[in-house]
Amino acid sequence: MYGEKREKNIWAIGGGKGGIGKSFVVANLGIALCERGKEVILVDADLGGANLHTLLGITYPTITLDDFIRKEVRNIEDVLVETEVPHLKLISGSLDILTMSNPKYTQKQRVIRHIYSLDADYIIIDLGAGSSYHVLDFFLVSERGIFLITPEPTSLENAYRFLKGVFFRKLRNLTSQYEVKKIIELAMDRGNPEGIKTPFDLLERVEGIDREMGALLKEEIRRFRPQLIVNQVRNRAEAEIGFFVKSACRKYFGIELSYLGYIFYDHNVYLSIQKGRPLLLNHPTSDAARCIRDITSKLINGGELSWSLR
Amino acid sequence: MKTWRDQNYYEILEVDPQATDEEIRIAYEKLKTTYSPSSPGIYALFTPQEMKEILAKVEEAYRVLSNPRNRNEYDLMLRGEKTEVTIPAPAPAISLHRHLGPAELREALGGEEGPFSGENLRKIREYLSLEADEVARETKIGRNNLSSIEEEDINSLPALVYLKGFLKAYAKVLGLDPYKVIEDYLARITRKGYQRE
Repeated sequence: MYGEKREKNIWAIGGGKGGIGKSFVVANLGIALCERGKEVILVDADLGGANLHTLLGITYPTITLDDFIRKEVRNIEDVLVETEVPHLKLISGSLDILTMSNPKYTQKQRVIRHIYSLDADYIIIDLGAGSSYHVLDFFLVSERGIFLITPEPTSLENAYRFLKGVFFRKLRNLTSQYEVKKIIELAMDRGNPEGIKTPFDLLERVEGIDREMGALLKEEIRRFRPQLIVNQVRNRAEAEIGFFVKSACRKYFGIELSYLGYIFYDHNVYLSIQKGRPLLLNHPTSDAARCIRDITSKLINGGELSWSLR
Repeated sequence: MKTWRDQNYYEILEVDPQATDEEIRIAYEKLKTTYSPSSPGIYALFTPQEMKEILAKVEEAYRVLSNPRNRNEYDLMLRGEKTEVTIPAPAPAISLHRHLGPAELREALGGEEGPFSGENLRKIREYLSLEADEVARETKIGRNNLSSIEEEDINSLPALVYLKGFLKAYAKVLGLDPYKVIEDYLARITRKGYQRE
């Protein structure tokens, strides 16, 4: 099993707000990858609100991440379940809300380590809502952090907050220097007494404390490329919101966001969820299914949307 | 990494220094929407004052880059071959918040609400007492192109990508739904045999 090492891709999908279709996108991205002959594992890390299994037509998962976290099984492979799609496996999320919605640091590290050891071409992690540290950390350890929004103002507001959380958490994890850590934590609060208003102010301040650290953070920011998908798009204007977010990220954080694409609002999505059968199986030629396949190919090939001339 | 306060006009508009006029216009329009007070959720990142400042910079950048002479001068300055540039004063906007309702449309078109043919666009323009020159200045559509559009002269109309951009800009000045105008207009000229890609 560990004989030959293959290239592994770990993606995480988050977005700050609940109910915007994260699990739906994870399930169908997974199937779209399988359609291309890939082996895929989906991980439901929505600790406390797991329902990826339901979207894949599994009502009662016999074994879940719980069993691994509680150390009832030793290896994370032991909680893998097969789905009706060949080469698509699932690690069901914890259903035990009380103990698992806020795992201990060491538990989380163990889960992350084991996810890395999984054997598949693609591993896609479904993150929960919110911007708690464990959500942010899962987002940051993935090779591609994808965040999902819908065109509603509430979703955008949460998405910007989520990005802010991710951004500052990333910087904070890069340094072990107490003084720098402290200044980063201060900067997260806009009304901080130090007068640090933007990430640019923060970098300047860090450079003042430690030039090398400042340069390192800058380099990491330059390389940081979160990806964006807009779900439930009803018209062209809503699809363009992705470009707005891209611009806001450039101007506010100085980061380059890749806008992967949008998924049309499609009644078939509702129908497939009602039926407990993934969209790509139930309505393989629907508009939303086509969008998901486009996004999958952009994810594999590293493309993004560009402002179209029209 | 530069903050938007230190960005040059191309960086502010997020376009390549070799960008075409059309690309610059599209970028300008998208940025205006992005940093407008009604842009959803953006307040999580920027204060109203910052958004005002960004918008002012976007406007200034567009005024310079959309004018070939000013843009040329600016490019020379970026290369260090010139020290000063002229920033054109803001033009009085004639198209701000105009919206033509169905009643006004019927009045302009003698009882009809469309279709948006070249002739009807001219009628609406005249109904709003806008001179062709005025529209040309506001939309940055050349005077010749504007006449070709109003006359539906398929032999002198620009290529489709430009035509769509022009129709959108023209529709906006007239307070019409750009998508409806583009749809009607393209349907008409396609029937007439227009086929420039």
